[in-house]
Amino acid sequence: MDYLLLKALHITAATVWIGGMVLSGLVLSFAFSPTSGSDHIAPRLLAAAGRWDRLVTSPAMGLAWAAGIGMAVWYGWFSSPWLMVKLAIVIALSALHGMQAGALRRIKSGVNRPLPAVLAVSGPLAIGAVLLIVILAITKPL
Amino acid sequence: MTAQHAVRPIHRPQDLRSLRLASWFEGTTLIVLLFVAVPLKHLGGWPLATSIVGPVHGFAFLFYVWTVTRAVSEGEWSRREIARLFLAAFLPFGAFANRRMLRDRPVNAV
Repeated sequence: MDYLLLKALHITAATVWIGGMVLSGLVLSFAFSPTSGSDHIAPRLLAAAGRWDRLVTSPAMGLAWAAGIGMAVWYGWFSSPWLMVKLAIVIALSALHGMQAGALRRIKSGVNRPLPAVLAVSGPLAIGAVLLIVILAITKPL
Repeated sequence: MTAQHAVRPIHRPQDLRSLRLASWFEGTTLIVLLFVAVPLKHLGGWPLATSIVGPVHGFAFLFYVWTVTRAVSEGEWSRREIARLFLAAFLPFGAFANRRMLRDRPVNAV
């Protein structure tokens, strides 16, 4: 597959992935509201967010991984330090998305236990991580 | 113990299946990478082996990290179990050492 096509696929998939994380982050932020909590997240909103995460965000994440790994192999980027830093951020971002996905299921199953505080800011964290990734990928400072 | 803490969220069978699958996939590709591809590269002069297996293992590792964090976030896991799940990704045969733990995990019958 043409390298540029792979790159386009990677960027598109990553955009959908991060968009989904911002959406999940917004829904989960309701669980930290001092006046409501997870009990007051509308069930239909929760179900829709979970469905979107399962059907769109998670597959997009997998596609972003696959296309990114494909590009790295194609262009020999694995020997580049900037990519190693980017990979560390990607691993952390993937773990954060896993936490979001698990938390959405947990709330939907009716378990009323506190969520990890990091999920309250998971949306902004995802955006911050993307900013770092884009800077690394474009400027390749290392 | 309050009613709130008496509830132990348990996973649906398909959730634990995906965790077991991710564990098996990551563990297997790690073993193939370390004991087949790397020797082929350094001893057999065939670097293509790591070029193929390496990326596959990379994808498997990402999938495993994601699956584990999802499962840990969703359910109740002890610190020891969480540590075992994460350490397994870095140790040859670690994934297979966790098989029993994952197999014996209670599931939601619904």
